[in-house]
Amino acid sequence: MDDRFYKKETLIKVFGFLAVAMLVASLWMILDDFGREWKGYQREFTVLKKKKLDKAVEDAKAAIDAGSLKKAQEELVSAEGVIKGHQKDVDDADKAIDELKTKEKIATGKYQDAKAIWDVQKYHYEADYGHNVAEGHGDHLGKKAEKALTRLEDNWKKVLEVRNQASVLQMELIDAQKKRAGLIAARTDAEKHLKLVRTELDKQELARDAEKFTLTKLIRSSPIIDLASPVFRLQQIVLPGIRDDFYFASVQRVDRCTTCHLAIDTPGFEGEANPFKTHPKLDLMLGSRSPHPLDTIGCTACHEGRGQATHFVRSAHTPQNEDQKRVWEKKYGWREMHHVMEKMIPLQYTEGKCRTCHKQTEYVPRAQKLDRGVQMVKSAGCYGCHRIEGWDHVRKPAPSLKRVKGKLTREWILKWIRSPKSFNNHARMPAAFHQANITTDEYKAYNDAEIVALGDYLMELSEDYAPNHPLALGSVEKGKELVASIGCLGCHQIDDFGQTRGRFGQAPDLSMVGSKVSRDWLTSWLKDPRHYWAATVMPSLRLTDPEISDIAAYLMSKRNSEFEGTAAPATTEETQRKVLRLYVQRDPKFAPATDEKVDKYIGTLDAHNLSLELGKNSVMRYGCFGCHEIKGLEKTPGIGVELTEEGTKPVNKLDFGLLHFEHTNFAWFDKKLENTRIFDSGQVKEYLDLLRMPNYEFDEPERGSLITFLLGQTAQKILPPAAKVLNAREAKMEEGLRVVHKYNCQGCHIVEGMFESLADEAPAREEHEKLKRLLEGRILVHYEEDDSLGPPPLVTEGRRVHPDWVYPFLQDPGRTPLRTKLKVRMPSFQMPNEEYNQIVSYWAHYSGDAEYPYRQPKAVELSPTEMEAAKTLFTKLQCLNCHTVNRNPTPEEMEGGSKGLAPDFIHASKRLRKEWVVALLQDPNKMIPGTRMPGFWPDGQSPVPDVLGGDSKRQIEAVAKYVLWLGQGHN
Amino acid sequence: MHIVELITGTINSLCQPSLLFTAAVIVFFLVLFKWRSKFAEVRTIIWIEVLMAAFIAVSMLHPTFRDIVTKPDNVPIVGMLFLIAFFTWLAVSKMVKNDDRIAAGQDVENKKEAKELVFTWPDLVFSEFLCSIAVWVGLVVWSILLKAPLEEPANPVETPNPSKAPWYFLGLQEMLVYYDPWLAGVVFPGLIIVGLILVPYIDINPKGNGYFTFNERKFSITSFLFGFLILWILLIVYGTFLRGPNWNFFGPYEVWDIHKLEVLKNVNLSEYIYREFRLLGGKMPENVLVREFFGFVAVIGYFVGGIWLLQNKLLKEFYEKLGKARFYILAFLVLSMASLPIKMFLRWTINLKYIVAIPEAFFNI
Amino acid sequence: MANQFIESITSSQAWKSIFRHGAPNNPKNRVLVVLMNVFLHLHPIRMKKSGVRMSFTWCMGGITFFLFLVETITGVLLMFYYRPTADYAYADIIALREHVPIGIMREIHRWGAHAMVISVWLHMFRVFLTGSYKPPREFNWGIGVILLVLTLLLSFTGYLLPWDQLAIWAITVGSNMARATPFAGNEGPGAALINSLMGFEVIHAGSDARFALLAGRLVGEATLLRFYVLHCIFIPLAAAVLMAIHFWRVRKDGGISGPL
Repeated sequence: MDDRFYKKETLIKVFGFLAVAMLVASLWMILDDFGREWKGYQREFTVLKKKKLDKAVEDAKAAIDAGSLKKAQEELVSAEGVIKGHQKDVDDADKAIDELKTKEKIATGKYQDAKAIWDVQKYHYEADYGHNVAEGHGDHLGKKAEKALTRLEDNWKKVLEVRNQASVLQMELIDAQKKRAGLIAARTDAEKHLKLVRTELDKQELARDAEKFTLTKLIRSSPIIDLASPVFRLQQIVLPGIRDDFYFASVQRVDRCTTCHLAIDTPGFEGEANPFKTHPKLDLMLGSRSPHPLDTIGCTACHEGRGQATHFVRSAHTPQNEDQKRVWEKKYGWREMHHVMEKMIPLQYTEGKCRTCHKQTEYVPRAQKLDRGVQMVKSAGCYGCHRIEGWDHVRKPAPSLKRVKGKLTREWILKWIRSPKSFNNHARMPAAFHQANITTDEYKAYNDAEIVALGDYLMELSEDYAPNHPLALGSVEKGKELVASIGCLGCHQIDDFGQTRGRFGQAPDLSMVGSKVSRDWLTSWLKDPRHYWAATVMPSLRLTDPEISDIAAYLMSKRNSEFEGTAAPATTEETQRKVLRLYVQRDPKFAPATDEKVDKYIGTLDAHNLSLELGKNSVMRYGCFGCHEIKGLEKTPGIGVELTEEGTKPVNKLDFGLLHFEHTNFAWFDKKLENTRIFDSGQVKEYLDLLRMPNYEFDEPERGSLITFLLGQTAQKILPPAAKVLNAREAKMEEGLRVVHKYNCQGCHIVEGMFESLADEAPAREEHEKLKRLLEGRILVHYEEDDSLGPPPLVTEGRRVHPDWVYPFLQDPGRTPLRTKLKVRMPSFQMPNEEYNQIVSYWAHYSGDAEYPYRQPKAVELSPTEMEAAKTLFTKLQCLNCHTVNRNPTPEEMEGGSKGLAPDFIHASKRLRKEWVVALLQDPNKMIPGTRMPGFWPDGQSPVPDVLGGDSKRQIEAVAKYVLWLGQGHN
Repeated sequence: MHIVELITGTINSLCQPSLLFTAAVIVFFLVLFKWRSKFAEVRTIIWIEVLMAAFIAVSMLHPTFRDIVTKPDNVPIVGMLFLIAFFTWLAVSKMVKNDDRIAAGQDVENKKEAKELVFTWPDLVFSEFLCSIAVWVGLVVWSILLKAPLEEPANPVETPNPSKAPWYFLGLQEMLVYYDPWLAGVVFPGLIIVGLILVPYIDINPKGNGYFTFNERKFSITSFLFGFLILWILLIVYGTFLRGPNWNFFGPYEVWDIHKLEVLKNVNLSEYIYREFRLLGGKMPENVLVREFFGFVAVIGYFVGGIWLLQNKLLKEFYEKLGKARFYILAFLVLSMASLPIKMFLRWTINLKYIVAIPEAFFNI
Repeated sequence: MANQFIESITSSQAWKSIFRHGAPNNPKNRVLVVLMNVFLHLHPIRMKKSGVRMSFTWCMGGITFFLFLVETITGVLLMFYYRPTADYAYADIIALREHVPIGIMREIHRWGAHAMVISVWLHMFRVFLTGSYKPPREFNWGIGVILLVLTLLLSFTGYLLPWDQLAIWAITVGSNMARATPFAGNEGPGAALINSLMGFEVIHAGSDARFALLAGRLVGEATLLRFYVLHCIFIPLAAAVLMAIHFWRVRKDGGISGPL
């Protein structure tokens, strides 16, 4: 052994050490594998679930009536006693059954054997001779065949015989069993009763026992062994319709979120902490009966995150705010997953993802924040500068400037451009000048030079416009009353009546309008808005001249003296030359731009042309034409970046400038929307390189809504059925609703169908109302003391009216005033025919069962009996207390009474459909929620039993016919 | 605070390729030829390893440094640096020991052992076995503690900045700064492989076979160590740790700012001659061969002159011993290898871009 | 009793058919154990003492071979879970991390690959510094150099397989150089010469060395498959063959080198 190189002892020591090290490493490896985070959650959940199940058992136990339990148990005991009395009979019966069973089995076996043999014989016969018979050569089969056939038939008889034997035995067995059942019937019944009492308890106990953590389960979930049949296992949902775009390929999405979020679709865990919490909106999301069941929509379709991951950090959870981030860092060791693209969307912006699937509707039901965002985009006019797919054909968001000379003064324009907010705090127009990145006096002077130039340029481009309806001003008081009552507030807001809608409503805030426009322009505008601007959506309210004078007087009294007192921005020719020089140097037409060339060109311009040239350049640079119609630039695309896929734009494509903050798109959006010029801070830039997006100074909720909207603008292509596709009916409704939104019908009326999938659910209805208030300038807040004095609700219209009536009505609602008492006035919108049709079609499709296209109204005939009955009922039910027939109610009648609130019957025949009138009479509140019309036939009970035999159906029919008959001009 | 910034700033600027590379070359030769026996002492390597560890540990306090060093794929490179330092020391210390013995007329280490035989079982088999276990344990622990990297799914449109080759090729990628891809990416790697294979046929020095020695084979060991440590490992360190977005140089404590700009004023040799020296009035000839005439002269001159110099002055005895064929191959390989540091110095000193610049034919030297 | 039992087993026909000799505790059996075992057979029966001394050999060659074995085994395990298509590759790598048992398989494979590159370098470093490439080992040194290249190529081809940004861009950068191959790359010197000599475009982006390497003009799904096959079959096989030669030649050229 001396020739060994290494000492044996050393080798053994080293080996021993390494062996231990290897053992430790291997165990560590196994435990590392075993101790995956999600298993811990599942273990924890078992405990939680056990608690719930135990409690359910306890509850079930407590719910059992002690008396009936005792009674059932006693019943069982006594039944046992009775059976014991004739135990011998029972035993005999058991024995007989046993014997019969054996015999029956043998007999059945015999039959089956015989049948099997016969089947083979039959096959052989058919194979040998069958085809001859089939082909009609049966005559030539010969003796052999006949013999075979005879044998087959004989054998069949034998088979039947054996079968009969078996059947007889079966019959006997059944009888024996019946007999035995009779002997122990008392016990069976008692057991059944006891079970009935314990039904719920048994069910709960069964559920609990199934979840019991037994020794087997413990063994099954121990290291290594758990590879075979684990108790704790990964849960996953494969989402066929949703695929991740991985550049080279699209990969089916797999969500494993439910591995830890174990009760996400199970009611009963609402109060638990995450990850065991139930989804808070189970009726809308994940519930099996909700529109988005878990197994088709999964989790990441809405929340994003790496669905494949099974680890808190790696699944790319995103905290909602700094506080949550700190908590997560402590609790889960959270850190940002830099390399995961599909990071979760912070909870507060999740609604944006609705848009990924709901692409075809303008608004998404119950996605309040997103809808608010859509409304903001519309009202703030984001799409003017930034292209967004689907918004291409929306009208420019701001007023046309083509005739601006006739409306505004140059001085006002300059001051307004400099700072819209200094004129009216609720101005929608953003500020493009004197923002945070204009820091030096030089640049400030440049800004003023451009403002002046813009003013000059716009005035120069403007066509002449002469107001066509100048009127003297009337009474301010009367004007204010009119504004409050005739419906202006459906779209506009004025400080006197509360500015609840913020800056971004349907129409401008009028609180300072007196300092803006001239009297003559205003009266002409009120008389006919389209005279000044043909494309305006402002309707005519058919105002009389005295009304116009009064309203104008009121509006002209709304002034901003501070604004009027400030001087307009001024500049010098020299400054304007300097700024224009900057532009010209970059103008490709002048490239390469030598000083000489540029100076020579600028030298040729006189002061006026200089300002115009600078104005032209400035308009192009600031993109005014994105929102306003400007002569010659009507089709020029906006200057902003496209936002169609902004939500999935890689974060490194966003310029963070020199700012250091959270590297996420939503944080960037937030900063940008708060101050659009912020990313210039600290940078050294030439004047024309400065950021130029105008500043809206959005407040926090506004930014939140807009970020929600932006995060929904994704490149993700989700295909049906995962994506929502409108059916024909929904598409028609959407079309009509877009017209409704365009003209802001919902500013005054309750509009049905906006969020129709929720119509029947009570809590949803409430939410719906809340949402409407968010999206609309519901004028009804001004009629809180009496709703019926406000605009009537537009509900069940599809079943209610004839299109032939709607069209002329909408054309000129003043021609056929329905409710004389209402001060609020249905405006004349002068929509194109197509839009009328779309509204009518939407009504019809909303109602679903309404006949469409409508049939023509038919003349109604009443039988003499009906006529008489109807007349009696009319008197008894005092219909004419509110309604009139072909006359306007007198002012005395309207004062304090309900006359004039209900429509005149003269319109009934042309306007209403009989089926609807019948339905209304049956239950007015169902057809028009909140109506003042009383229901005279509650629950089908007639209030007038002596007419038509008290048959409420016939009575209603008669009244409905009579109403329409009146409408045909009879009296 | 100020002092910290001062120190980090100093280290940042000291790490610039021109400074650090030059310093490394100088230290390399000093250690090998002057301080060899000092370097071979045990406490030297302890100090080196401790200082390296301390430097990295302290630097970890700096977020940028930490981010780069702890990137999963970079961790092995840090480990490798410790290993390389250790094994270089081990080799040198054995060389010193053997050289001392040879000088004293003694046998080299293990000489006696090389004459004795032992059974393969159990000595070799066991040591192999134990070694395997040790490596396996290390690998498992390493794998548990450090997870393999996985970034965003492959996207051919989105180029990461910087985009880097696998770490063991970063020396080549670093060479791209100084040489065209056809040289840095194809010819040089080819020469390295071919050159390595040719080593036994060029180096016919019979001494130093099977034992560590420096004195008996100074030239071969110096050139190998220079190639491996300076031109390979050091360039990998540059490529991995000190090259950021746009392949700009970043000090170890410098934030990888994508906007960082470096002045690009590198000029080709032909431009130098025609523009700076106003040859032909500064107008460059149309014909590329004429235009690049000086470049060709320089390159050919480098090789011809270099070979002449080596043959008659620097490696005269080699020439005599090796014979013509061997010597010219050796001289070519040595000159090729030396061309990299030479080109680097030319870049740092006179901003020379290419000696021969024919981008029309993708032929730049 | 125990001895009897052991005796009865070791004298059985089955035992003897497997083990042709007794415990290697005497010279004869030690010779036999190496001689009769296919794996140990690559070793000589007896060797120089210096060849066993770890401070001399550093064991780097052995470690490299061991790492090659580790890579083979973990690589085969990974092949069970990995599909080299653009649709699945990335997702399968996530799966390896998230739910496949023995979750550190990919780590062992990746770190083992890094370690192998380093150990090959150190092996070569030691071999050079001890002058072990000198006669009679010149040829084996050459084999070693090729094995070094194969090791790097193995690592390089494997680098693409996770199919993430790190992977495709590292491969893109690495393979871009092939574009500049003299005469064979479309952006290499000499390509224009060949094209003009032939009179038509022989060397272009769709036919050059890089195209051959990537199976396309870009790193794409075809590259993935190509690299997968190279990584899993071609290079390992080539390396295995060369390794066999390498070890055989070590033995035949006088064992691990040492002072003569």
